[in-house]
Amino acid sequence: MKKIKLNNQKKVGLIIVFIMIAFVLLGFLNRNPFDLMNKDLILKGPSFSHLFGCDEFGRDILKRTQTGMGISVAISVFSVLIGTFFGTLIGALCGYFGGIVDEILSSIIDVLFAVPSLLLALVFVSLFGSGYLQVTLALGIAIIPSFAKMMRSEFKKQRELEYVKMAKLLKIPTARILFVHILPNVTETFLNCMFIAFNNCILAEAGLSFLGIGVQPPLASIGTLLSDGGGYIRRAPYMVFFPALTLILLLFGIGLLSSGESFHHAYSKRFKD
Amino acid sequence: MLTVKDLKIEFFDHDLPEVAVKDVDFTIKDGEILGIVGESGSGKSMTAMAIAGLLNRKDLTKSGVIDLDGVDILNSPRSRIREIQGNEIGFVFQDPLNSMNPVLKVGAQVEEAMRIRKKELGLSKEDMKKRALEVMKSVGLDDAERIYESYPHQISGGQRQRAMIAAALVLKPKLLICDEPTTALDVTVQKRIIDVLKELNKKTGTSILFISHDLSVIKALCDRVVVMKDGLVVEEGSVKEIFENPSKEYTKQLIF
Amino acid sequence: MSEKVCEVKNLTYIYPKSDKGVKDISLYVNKGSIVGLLGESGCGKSTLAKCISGQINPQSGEIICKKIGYIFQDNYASLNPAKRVGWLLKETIKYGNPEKFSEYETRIKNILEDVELDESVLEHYPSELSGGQRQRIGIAMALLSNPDILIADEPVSALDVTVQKQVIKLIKKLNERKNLAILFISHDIKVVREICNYIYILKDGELIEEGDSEKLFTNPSSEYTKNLLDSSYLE
Repeated sequence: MKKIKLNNQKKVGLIIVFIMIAFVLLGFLNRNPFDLMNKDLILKGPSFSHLFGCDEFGRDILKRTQTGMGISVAISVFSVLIGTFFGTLIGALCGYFGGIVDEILSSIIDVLFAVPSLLLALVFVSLFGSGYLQVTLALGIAIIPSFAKMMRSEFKKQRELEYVKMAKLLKIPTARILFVHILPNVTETFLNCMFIAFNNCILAEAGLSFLGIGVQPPLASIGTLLSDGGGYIRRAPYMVFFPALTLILLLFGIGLLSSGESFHHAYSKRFKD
Repeated sequence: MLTVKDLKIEFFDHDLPEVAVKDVDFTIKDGEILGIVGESGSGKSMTAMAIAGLLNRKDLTKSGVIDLDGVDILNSPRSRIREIQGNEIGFVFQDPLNSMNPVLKVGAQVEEAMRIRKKELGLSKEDMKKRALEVMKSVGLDDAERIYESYPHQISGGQRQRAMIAAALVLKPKLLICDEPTTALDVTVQKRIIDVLKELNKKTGTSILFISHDLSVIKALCDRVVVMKDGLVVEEGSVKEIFENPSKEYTKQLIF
Repeated sequence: MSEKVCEVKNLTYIYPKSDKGVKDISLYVNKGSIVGLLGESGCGKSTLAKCISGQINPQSGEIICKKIGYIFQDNYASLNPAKRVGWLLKETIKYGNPEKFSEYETRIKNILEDVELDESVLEHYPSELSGGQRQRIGIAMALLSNPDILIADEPVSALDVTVQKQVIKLIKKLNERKNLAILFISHDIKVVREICNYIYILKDGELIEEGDSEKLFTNPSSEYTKNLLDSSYLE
């Protein structure tokens, strides 16, 4: 009945994302340890046993990219979950109730919005130290404002519709109206917001790690790989090239997923006379 | 003046082609008011849009003949159609609030059709304003000067719809197509609009194609009526005939 | 003298920061009768309906009403588009009539029979149904909480004429069978004349005329009503 109809962009996006997930998972089969240093392999180019080549300590870049990607994705997924949860909650409350609740929460959101998310993350990290846990939290908080804003406007729109009034007349508990009745009607915006936030997270995490305040060595993330490779870009361009390529592919795939129109064909009203 | 023959419109927005309008034939003579009546999904608006040359969507195909005084609407190039729109065909939409631009003054929107053809017509700003006020008065907008300077939200629904009719009439088209122009309005306002259209038809001899779901409105206004259902013409005849003895069961149902 | 299921006394509600609203309205609905509330857009008929059903609180006046069922105008927006019809009906029983929740399956079956719908609609999303079917579901949802009075706010205005007739027939049938009182709000004289026993006419927030349906249409007393009748092209 409920047909999820994907347009071509979404199909391509989905395929790319699947490939990237497979790429990360294949890392478990790759028997080169990600932190094993090998004097003989220092800055050795791509070869059959080390497809992406080796870095300045002789570590396998393929394995490091796979691990790094996994960590980047994990950090992003968790921060998106944090951001989505609180963002939706705040947005729903603001949009649905309006009035004084909206005023107070919205002004807090506006203050948060005024601070660039990267700066916010920097402050957070300098307060609580660096590491992937702190980065996850910092990024999660940074996502909340934009998510809350989108959700606020969606809930505000839905509130005026008659099915919500009907639910109110039936005295259905407000929490149920918000998350069982209204939320399924805003899945579209919800999912798109999540994808965009996820992309921003991947980028922000790479940025933070590039600056050296994200994931700490010997652990790798896409950001640290790029930052390490940057120093050897003339002697060993593959050190930057492969991690950057995977990063771009992932962003592209997710970006395609959030593009185009409807996920749920069944909801859209038919054009007729 | 207008002949529609074997008109067929098909949609392709789903996997299978869907017929919206099929085998539609009718004519409108000079100075005649023809009504098309039907329920939602009957294809009446599609037919009207096709006649006005407004169906340019890529996901549908049209076949048949629409002939307006020798011009083949379905097969003429876009530039020719654009010449006809406004000059020979005026179009009034259902919802007067949505069919007006909320950030432009009413006067500017009434003048719009003239402004586009300013050069060919050799009209100055004053001429256009004079003509706009004249038309607005002729459709019963008595304080035309005030409405000319107002924004759409500052005037009532009935005034908006009359302004839209004025906008459709500035270039003195031969045919005025009204797609449910009174459906969104109150009955008392509806009556005034109908009276305006009647008078207009009597005075200037403009032909009117009036589309509605409401047979009683059609009865009050039109000379002849075409009843449509599911894209097909069910019945056609003079208003008197149809009302006094409808031959089809469906028409009887429509008469409340 | 039959029993009153709903009575409104001197109700006033003026919208904040405007002078629009309803002023000093008094009306009542008897058990088993269909009362019409007729007026043009902006006359305050929906405001009145919202006051009676408790969606907004009037500034003054008194409302004594038994249990209310409410039918909305827009049959598309009044059903949650993301949920199947079966879910919607179940949810309505769960919160509208919780003591009967254990037997919800039979309740749904009976109510579908009442509104003349097939059980297959339960599996569908509202957008997959026709306007008439959706409005029937709307009526079913209003009936599920066992109301004494049904407030129908323009229930047929968005429907085609032939479908209108069917829905009106259904409402009439429900009225006769269940002896259900109905407050029928509409701008359409033809519909009101068809269905109502007693009619109130509302203009600019005030009641200007009331009377038995027959009397009102054959012999209107106010100028406004005459104008309204004249404009509607009645046969």
